[in-house]
Amino acid sequence: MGPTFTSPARSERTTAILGVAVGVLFGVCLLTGLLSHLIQQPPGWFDWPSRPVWLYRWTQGLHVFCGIAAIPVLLAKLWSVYPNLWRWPPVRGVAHAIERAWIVPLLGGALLLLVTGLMNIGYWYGWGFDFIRTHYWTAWIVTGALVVHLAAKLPVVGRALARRHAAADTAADLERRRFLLTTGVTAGVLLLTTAGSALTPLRRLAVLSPRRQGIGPQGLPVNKDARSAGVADKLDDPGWRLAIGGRVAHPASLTLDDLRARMAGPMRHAARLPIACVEGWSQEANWRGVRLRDLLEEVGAPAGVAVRVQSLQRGGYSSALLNPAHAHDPDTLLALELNGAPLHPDHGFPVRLIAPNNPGVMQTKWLESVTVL
Amino acid sequence: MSGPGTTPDPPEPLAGWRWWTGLAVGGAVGLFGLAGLLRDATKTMPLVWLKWLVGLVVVHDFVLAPLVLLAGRRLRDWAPETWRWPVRLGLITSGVLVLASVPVLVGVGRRTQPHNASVLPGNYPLALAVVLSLVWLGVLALGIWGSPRRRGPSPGRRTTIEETPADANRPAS
Repeated sequence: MGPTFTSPARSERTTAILGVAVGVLFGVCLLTGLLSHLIQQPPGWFDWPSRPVWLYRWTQGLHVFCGIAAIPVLLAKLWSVYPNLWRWPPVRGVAHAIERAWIVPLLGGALLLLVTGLMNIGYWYGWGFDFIRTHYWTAWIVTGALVVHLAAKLPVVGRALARRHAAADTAADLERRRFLLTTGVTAGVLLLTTAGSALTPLRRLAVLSPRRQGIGPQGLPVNKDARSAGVADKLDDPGWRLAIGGRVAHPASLTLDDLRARMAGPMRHAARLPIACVEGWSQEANWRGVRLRDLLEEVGAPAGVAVRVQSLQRGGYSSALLNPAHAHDPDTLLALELNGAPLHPDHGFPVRLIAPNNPGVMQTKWLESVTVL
Repeated sequence: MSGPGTTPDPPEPLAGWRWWTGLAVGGAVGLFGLAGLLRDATKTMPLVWLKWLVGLVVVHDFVLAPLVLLAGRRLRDWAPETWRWPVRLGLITSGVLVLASVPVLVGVGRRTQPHNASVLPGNYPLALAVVLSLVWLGVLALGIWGSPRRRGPSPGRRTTIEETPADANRPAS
């Protein structure tokens, strides 16, 4: 015999409201996650624009903070249907058995997405498998299981949301409202104490966030530092050159002084652009350097080309592809300075890429070559 | 769990084109995901993945949920009626905040990123203590604001759970 459940806050309507909320939050996470995947591994038909500047930053902030908000909402939703776990008999036929079987990947997958996502933004890889691939494929499994679940439950949701409770002012209704309010307050407190790692007006409140705006070398957080990337010893090499080649008329090999000379001339450009991490945090900064499109013109690259930038770093995110929109955007820089000072080694000294509306992992640091494709 | 005097809702149909289409589409998407996961086996480690997936279900269904139910029951027996919901709010909010803060509290990220001071820069135990204190100050304010002495009689809002109509106890199907 199973336990008995007496809370008046449980009802079909409570479950329906929480279910819709979980569906919306997971839906936003799916779309923003897929978008980031497309941007980082673009198929032929996909061209991510370089404007508006804030778009990538917003989508990835939404991804992480909808995921965080989903923690209390999913738990509340599970609480509201928990008695079903103990219902006897467990299945009422073949279709019902299929429907219930799909709840295991739905629930386990959803919990896995939230737990791995939360651990990942805290740089805790305590599970062995590769985070990105596993998070990505699990998201597809959860999406499929969610579609099956919706096919079974949409009539129930419609019924529950359409029907007002007979006595709207009963104690039970008050209990339901209080429970939903509690769930909302919990999500709100979680967001208030974390979302400031992307939402600048809330930055002082982000006390539980694994990242804080303003904290890091030159007042800006760093994803990968120079020592961990294995480039720290290569940065003061006097033989360092930036090679510019590929489909160009005059391949060039520039020293740091060559780049500084260009920054003192007409190629000098300053831009205020965000570093926007797929892990949700983002922060604007003032960058100064040489415009990439001016440099491409100088070496005689054809118009409207794509460009690959390569770092001194090996493996990982050591190179990035810039589509024509990004390569030729007037604010795309080979940056030498950050917030008025030469780049800190952790920010990509001697020179890094910074482009508008570009994922942080594609803002390649410690550049050694620019190849026109 | 249907109480007396209520008609139980009809079980969801699980028939008709909507259900079978949903099952076919959802099933295809889910299997696409599973196939991708298996194809990427060197990176996704399907057996480890499965252990996590099933483990999380088991921990939720047979550890976390029973603990929450037990706490709710204790609270109902102990707390005076006007304090019940503020304290419940405090417990739920605190519990989720602590759970969601485990990665920053444990601080493994500081060890995986030893040369990056911008990873986990805060004093998280202190921050959590401050946030929880504020939450419980809110609980205190709600409890005092809702107490009968302060508010006077207001029968509508002070109805007790025992007076709840039976049909409200019906869990969602």
